[in-house]
Amino acid sequence: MMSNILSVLVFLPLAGALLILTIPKEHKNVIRSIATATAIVALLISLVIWGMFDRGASGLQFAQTVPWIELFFLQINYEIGIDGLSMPLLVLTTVVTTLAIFASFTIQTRVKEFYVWTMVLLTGMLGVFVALDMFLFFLFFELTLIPMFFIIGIWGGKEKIYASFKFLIYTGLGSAVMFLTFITIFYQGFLASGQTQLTFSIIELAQIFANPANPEILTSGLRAGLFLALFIAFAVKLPIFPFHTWLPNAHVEAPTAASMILAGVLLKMGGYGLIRVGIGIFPDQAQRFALLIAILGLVNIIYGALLALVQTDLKRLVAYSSISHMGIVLIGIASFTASGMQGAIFQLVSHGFISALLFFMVGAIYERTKTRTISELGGLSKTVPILAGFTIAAAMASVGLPGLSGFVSELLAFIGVFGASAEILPAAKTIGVIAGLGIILTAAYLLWALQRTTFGPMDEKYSGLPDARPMEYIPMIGLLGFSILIGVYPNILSDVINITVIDILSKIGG
Amino acid sequence: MVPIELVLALGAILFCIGLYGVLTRRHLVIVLVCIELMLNSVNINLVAFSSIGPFANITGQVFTLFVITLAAAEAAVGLAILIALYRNRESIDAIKQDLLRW
Amino acid sequence: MIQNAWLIPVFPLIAFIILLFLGNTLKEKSSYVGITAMALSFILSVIVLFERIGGETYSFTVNWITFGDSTITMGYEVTPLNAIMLIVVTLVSLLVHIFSREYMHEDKRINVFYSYLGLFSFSMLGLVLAPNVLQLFIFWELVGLCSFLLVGFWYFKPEAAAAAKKAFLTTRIGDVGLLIGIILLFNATGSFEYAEVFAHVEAGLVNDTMITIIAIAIFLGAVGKSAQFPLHVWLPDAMEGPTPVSALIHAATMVAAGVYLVGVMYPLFVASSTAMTIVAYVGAITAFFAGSIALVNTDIKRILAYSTVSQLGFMILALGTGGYVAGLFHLTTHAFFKALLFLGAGSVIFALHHRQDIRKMGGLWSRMRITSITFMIGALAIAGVPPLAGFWSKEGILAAVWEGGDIFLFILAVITAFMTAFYMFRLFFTAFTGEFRGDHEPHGENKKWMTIPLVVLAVFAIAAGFVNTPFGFWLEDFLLQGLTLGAQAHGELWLAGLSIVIALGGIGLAYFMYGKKGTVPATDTSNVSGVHKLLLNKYYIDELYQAVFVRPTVAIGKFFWEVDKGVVDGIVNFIGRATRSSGRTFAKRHDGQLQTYGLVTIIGGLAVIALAFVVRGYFG
Repeated sequence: MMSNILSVLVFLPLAGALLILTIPKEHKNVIRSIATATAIVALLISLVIWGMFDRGASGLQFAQTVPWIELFFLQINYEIGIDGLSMPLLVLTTVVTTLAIFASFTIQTRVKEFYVWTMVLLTGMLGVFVALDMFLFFLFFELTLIPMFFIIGIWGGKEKIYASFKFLIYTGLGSAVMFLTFITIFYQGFLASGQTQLTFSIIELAQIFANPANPEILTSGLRAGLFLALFIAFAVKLPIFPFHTWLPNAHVEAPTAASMILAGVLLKMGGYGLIRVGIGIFPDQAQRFALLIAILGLVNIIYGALLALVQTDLKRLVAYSSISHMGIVLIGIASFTASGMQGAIFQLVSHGFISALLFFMVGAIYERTKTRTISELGGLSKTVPILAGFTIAAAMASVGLPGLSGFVSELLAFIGVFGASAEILPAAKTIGVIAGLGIILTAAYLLWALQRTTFGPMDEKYSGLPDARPMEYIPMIGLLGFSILIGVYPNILSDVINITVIDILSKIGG
Repeated sequence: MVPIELVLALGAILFCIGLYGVLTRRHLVIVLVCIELMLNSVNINLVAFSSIGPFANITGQVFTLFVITLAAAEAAVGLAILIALYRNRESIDAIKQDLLRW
Repeated sequence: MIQNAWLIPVFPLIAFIILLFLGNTLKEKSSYVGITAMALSFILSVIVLFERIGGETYSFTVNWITFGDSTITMGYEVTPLNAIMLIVVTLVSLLVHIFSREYMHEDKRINVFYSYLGLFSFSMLGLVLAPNVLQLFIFWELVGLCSFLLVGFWYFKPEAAAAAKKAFLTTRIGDVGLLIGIILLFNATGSFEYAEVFAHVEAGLVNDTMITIIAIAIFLGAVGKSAQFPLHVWLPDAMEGPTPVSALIHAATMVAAGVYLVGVMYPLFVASSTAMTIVAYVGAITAFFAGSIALVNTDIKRILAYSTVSQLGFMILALGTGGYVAGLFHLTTHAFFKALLFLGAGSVIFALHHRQDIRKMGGLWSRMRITSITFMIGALAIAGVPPLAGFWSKEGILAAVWEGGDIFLFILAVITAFMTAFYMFRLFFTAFTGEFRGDHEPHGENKKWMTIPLVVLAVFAIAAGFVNTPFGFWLEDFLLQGLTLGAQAHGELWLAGLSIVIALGGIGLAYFMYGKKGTVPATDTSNVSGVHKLLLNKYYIDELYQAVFVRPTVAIGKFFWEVDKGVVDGIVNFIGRATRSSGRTFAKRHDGQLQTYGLVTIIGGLAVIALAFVVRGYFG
């Protein structure tokens, strides 16, 4: 049990999905309970792993390798394992998904299919964070695409068809680029190892490319090209300007639970992939393009914030805020310092909780008022004071208020950027100051939105709306609680991450 | 002995005539006949190589028999299809048979 | 007991948590929870102060976060400066808690109000106890949040909602500067702890340019929080919040945090003469500028707000010219008399059913005796009439500015002091003397819940100055423990005389213009011109910011949105559409003509064969 606990965790939701398939679709409550129970068990398992995780050890833990596909001398392994980079994201995934399932109890149509897809999605997401074989990684990466496509396309809003196809094709194209790059890396790895190793293992490939003794080592141009191709592939998912346009559509049309998962976990796969595969295999190239990454990060921050400022639809505003916040991940990575890298990972985790909460709040408000247009809202503090309170808290977390997790990640990323060495990241301080402007803009659009939705005079037609239901407290308190926990005592996260970050940086030779 | 080139040329000419007919004639019965013509041109080639080719042996003539059998079967099936087609669409004009499009 | 100093902020936090969960059932009884918590904090603060006077600086830390091989810690410490601040904050907060019980009792959300007050007190006390500048920043932001919540407490008023946003956003601009400043400081010294940072700076391990940049960035935070020019615009608007909040947050404690920040980071500022000059000029300009706006305003709370901005400018000016003790001394005395003035104003506003225009007041002296007397004490204190608290601290500031040697700053300070006396008594004479001009006769003096805090504060406004007089610089000796700042400026006799003349002159002028004749500031202000109009419109700063920052930003945002929809997403959609339409175009070629298919197939086949021949060289 303990040696393959990761496999149990990953495939448990799939088993849940199969179980749900056997239940007649009329038994909605049974289906919901099974889905909830499965997610909660997955959450508990991930917390057990969290508890067992050895904070002092570098390298992989809970690793497991089983030969899978053997053709000629090609070797694809079922190779999984976690380190300080994937551990927090694993817990993030189970937490956000479990809470999203609580948020999805309002869905009444085609309940069975919804939960089957959600369970498959959960397996895919968990798989991405534990896979160490590129082939396996790609498989799980794609496995998240299809369920989300159906969830948006079936349970989405007015333009769900457009949004779901855009999501599928756009991110699918990103995956295609990723797959081609993986194949090329695989082949080049074969060449670089003196035609001895045909491996998809990220760890082994990294060792092959890092070893200067290997014959026929790749030209630096090719390495640069491969890194950039990987970067683009993950840029679509993260998303990075200019590959972000699928995101607002997908978020706006997706049902609340899907938005929570989409913003909370799926985007993080992009950042995770960038660090795990991109920097993992080509640390030198990542460093070489630090300035590019940082500038794209800045563009994300400022551009996303400016766009969020002028949105008329509350959900779209939150979607653009996601884009803006992902910029912090990029500038954190680009600094190539321990704090910056940790800031990036913190931001992945923290934004997972915060954006999920924001989307949940928008969904809850929409469910009651039937509108997301900012100008039609107002005075929610009067009609639904508890929801409004949580909305304000979520917005404050997003603004980066200390005591909540967003602040810690911004702080770390900024310490990293201002402390970046001039050889790796020229003009680091300028970048830091401009990113600081982004923080002001973030406060501007969120507070302006609050002023026009939760504050202000109440529209009479909204009087008497029901406030938070007991079932809604679970996601709200859960997500906010995690944000506060990380914000008040970040050591809980940083002692898991720190050693891995030091490992990553030691490969760069910094 | 007739040089093999002449026989092959006859086969090629017959094949081209058949091909031309298949591609240009609108009457599907003629098209069918032209297909027979192309099959026969193949038969001529097979026979030619089997009797005066560099590695002459009986295999080519055996194949010819297969092809003739096939041609007969094809004519039977083809004509049957044409009749069915005519019953359904009241025409066996090749241009009007355009159901197989986007 | 000093080891238990961490309990001081915890009491109000507990009150906040209790009210968060039980507020709806406690309702009006919520006030007792808040008052009890604050009383405990106050008592503990007094004990801690007395222990600190005879003892050492106490500090305690725990690890907060680790990255690479750096570790950031959190904890608390009790130094002379924050021991005094603890007293100021807990006392004013306690009195405001008591005052609010009556002031807010008609409000259905009184429990929410008290929970916010609890959260604010927690944050402010946490800020004061912070042993490192990062922790200070954390609580700094939290007090900003509380300010946001409390200014927007009456959220259903659009002005309050706008003011809350403006307050948070404007201070946020300064906060980003502060954040960048402390991060640069961390990168330069490897620590956030005050002691380590100053040790690095004093040992000359940080280069001078960097110190200047850091000091200015940190000062930006103070500019935002203490509403200094050019980020002062939020404070007058913040008066949309309930008046006790204005007294606590926007007069006595939070806005003084900027001054406190400069105070705790003082060794850093001293190390850079450029930064000191900037600090001094920003302070002086703010003091003059805000004071001049207060000359013409007619809203009782806004006059006090501009007065606060002006007085904060004074403190900053003092710090900028080397008057460390003078600045912090004025911070302390100002907290008492400005809280007194605000609570007095609150008492008046409460009695007049939330009317704030001083032209609609008048004659309150006979109707609300306790409020009037205490308000007059506050006004005399702020004007700098001896022997009230304001006289001693303001005289210290003037001495520091004079010693600083910049005559321009000195003149500005003197003019501002004169204006202070004038506008305070313009307010006093217009509102409290003469005939009552309002439409609602006040119901007489308010209940004891409101008057007792006034009386207590009045006592402090009179007596707080005696801790640092030429007859005994007790405060100075205490504050300078462990610091190496050199001698502090002490005013000579002529300076004391000058400040008395200024104060009395301002009061006299106000008396002749408004008190004696009972003149009221004009109601119709449409035809005023020149300087008066400029002052009435607050130098058009708000309009300027709207035109220069807000509208262009929104316009840029709109422009980028069009770009995003049209170009960035346009390209994506174009690719999608192009793929589809090209598919459609080619699909049309599939017209079902069997013979065409055949022809194309054959041509294609031939072409492939020909190509193969060419490639293999069969054509020679």
